[in-house]
Amino acid sequence: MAQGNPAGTFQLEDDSAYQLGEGWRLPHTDLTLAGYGDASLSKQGSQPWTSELDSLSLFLWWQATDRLKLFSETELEDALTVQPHHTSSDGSYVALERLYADWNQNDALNLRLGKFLTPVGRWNLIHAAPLVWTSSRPLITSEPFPTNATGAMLYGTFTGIGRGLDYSVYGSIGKELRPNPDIDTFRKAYGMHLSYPALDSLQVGLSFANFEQEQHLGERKNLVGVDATWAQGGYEITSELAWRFSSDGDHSGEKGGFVQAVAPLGGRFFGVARYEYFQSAGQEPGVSLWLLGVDYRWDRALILKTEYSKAVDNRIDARDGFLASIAVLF
Amino acid sequence: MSIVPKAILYCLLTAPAFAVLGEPVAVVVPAGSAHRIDSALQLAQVYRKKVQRWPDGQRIDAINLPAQDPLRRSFSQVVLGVLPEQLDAFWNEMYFQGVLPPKVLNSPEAVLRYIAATPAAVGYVPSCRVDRRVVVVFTFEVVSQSCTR
Repeated sequence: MAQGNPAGTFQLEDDSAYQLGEGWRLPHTDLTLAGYGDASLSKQGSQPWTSELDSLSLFLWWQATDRLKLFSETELEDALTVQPHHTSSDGSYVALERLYADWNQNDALNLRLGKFLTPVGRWNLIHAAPLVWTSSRPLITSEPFPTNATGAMLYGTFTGIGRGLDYSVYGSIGKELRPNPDIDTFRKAYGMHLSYPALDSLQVGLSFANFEQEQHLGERKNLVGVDATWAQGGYEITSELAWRFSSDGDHSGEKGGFVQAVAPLGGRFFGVARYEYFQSAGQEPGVSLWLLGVDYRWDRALILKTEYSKAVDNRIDARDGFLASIAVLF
Repeated sequence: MSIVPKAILYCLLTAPAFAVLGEPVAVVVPAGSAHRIDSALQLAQVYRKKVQRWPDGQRIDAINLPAQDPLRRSFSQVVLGVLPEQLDAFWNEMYFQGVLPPKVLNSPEAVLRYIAATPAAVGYVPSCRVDRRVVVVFTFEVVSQSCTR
């Protein structure tokens, strides 16, 4: 309850009750604890059925002052893998997804310092399992660029431009905070992302990044991307396209995109269909992935997903087959 | 963009038999406050937390009614363009960024009391509930039950 108000004059709804998907504000502090978890069951090709605890992610944020907020996200990845006659936690890893300080000067100007999600497209910025409709992630939303950056970012909303233009401009000089060994992190990078609600139901975005990665020193890459999301009445169409050009020539370029449609099937069931194409560096033609799925959205915090995907020209061992998962936001 | 066509459309689609067409709703701030809402767009940006500060730098404390309250549903449909539950995905995404939705109070009287005691607050109540504790900074019309109900 807000301070400075006479006790008993009003009652914040559910002020005392914790609800899934709304975080937990530690009593008598400005600390909020939240997060999400995700477990899956899969069958890929000739591999055995596999059950995994994919992620357990904790957010902790502290509104230190009226303008200063500290935010962290720590994720336990691949904590447990269970296959017939074999259980393992060998692949588990504690990842630092985000750790930053935000200074809010005004609505149009915020400064972020630390480790943050790279603002390319939309999926990477909302990638938490309970927020997306499929268990698998389109390749174009993570493969052509490091998904995290350590550096500085200016961001905000220009509310005087139409319905409000969201922007973010960022730079990194490498030195990634707790670099994930699975990610070829930024060495030097700068970029920007713009997002605009063209209609109440339509959001469009534009991304640009120029970067060099730690494992490819001397190779400068430019990435250009567009994204769009239309949502109305339970229906949703999402698409992202990206092209990455390299100073090393066409053989190091990557490109791809996806289009995904979601439709209500009745009750809490939703149908999902997606087509994606991704051409990895040096691989031609690229892989095409077709996906069909049915989701059961229990409420805004809990979702059950099932999907079957089929890959064509799969030279990069892209994940396909049957995949089901349960994801909860807490 | 005018919000009146949206209100009329909402009336045609959802009006129950006892509804009053054009029930005025007042957006209010504390009495004596200099804070103002200039347009439906600005109001929408406040309730989506795209606008989080008043021009004097104070952080806006926007107040909602419960999601099932008829006035909240009308407000959401007319001002935000969607029903409260259709904003679940939006608020999940904001939550992932560490941004929580507006606070919820149980009744128009609770909204009035909270706003009267909170300098940076803004909320909405039926116009007939407005009294000296608050000042009206914006009005719009929705279908809702009458004040006496």
